[in-house]
Amino acid sequence: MLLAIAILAALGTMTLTALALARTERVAGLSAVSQVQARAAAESALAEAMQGWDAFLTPGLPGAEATLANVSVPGPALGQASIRALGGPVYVLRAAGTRLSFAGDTLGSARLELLVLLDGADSLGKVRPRAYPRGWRVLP
Amino acid sequence: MSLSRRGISLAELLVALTLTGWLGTLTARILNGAAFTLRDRSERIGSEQNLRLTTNAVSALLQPLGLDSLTGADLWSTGSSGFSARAVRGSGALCAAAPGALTARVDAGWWSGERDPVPGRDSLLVGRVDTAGWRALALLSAPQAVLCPDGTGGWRFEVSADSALLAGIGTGSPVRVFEGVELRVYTSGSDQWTGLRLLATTQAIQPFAGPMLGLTFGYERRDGSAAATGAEVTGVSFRVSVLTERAGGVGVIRGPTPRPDSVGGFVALLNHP
Repeated sequence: MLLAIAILAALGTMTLTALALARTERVAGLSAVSQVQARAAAESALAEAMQGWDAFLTPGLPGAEATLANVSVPGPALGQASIRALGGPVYVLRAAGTRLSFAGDTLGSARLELLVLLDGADSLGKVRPRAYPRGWRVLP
Repeated sequence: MSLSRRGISLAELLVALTLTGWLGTLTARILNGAAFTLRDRSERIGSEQNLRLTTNAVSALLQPLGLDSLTGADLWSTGSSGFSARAVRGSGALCAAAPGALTARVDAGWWSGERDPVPGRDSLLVGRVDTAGWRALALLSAPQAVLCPDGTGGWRFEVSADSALLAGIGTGSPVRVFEGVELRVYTSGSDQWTGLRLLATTQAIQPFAGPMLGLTFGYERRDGSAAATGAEVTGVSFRVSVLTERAGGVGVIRGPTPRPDSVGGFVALLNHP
């Protein structure tokens, strides 16, 4: 009888340990996937903003921002890109991506920025940014 | 005549002993198998965590590296067991520039950094606004809190730069604080670890992932051929090797021979033109 109880207890402990290990792996995997999806959303928004925008959207005062692009990618993950004036011809494009659960909770997020040089608007009134060297970075 | 039985017969005892022995053997086999699987999974999770840490650290360090015509490449030296490079520790934009002093905005949304800049350890990269390019300037003292010309908060950086060196640098110039770091594999005891060393200090290398069997790097040009200098590198491949199963084991459960495993990755330098 005692032997049977001891064996059952050992088997139960191992089962629980295995379940705990599997859960840890699942959480780590889900977190990694969520981060990648959030980053993909941010990069998509940044890429869309790099296509150009109407010149009147470009902010003038240092610190002023204007939203340029909103994207949704499979996940679902949402991305948004905005342009921020630094006070000269060099601007910064900032993009944020968020991976949401079906309940709407945030599972992962990412923020990127890219320094760009702005020339004048083209004949269609569009501004086409040029990437500044060493301008891309992931924000903490 | 009454028949009474006391005790058990020899045949019953033999059957009971046989069944108990068979059950015991079966249970021991199940327990051994389950414990071995658990130990293997634990080793694998630990190794995968090592791989994740190394991969994330290497990617975070390599991805932002780039170059420009004024300051050269961020990847200073390359080798199969490590590399040294500029690592950005903070970034913002200038609100004023004068010979010997630069002022950066630090109010909310302007400055982002892991820590405050440290003279002797950190240097500045300051972007020109008349053309695309950066200047590298030494940081002579700790930043002082001042006000920008428009009354917002700022940091005054004392730098060794005359007006010629500051040509094209002014309001709106992007600024980056960087320090030189070396990432490489080193040996501690019988194990190998991945560590990071700050080049401007005498601090010993600090471990961040291990133990492992090794970490090797390869440097590629855009066409996939091997790069000879840091300026040519557009992508870095790396391979981390670990033991996912160790010899020996726990108690009576002995694992087979050690099983090496490895994972490889490729990081594109996103700021390379």
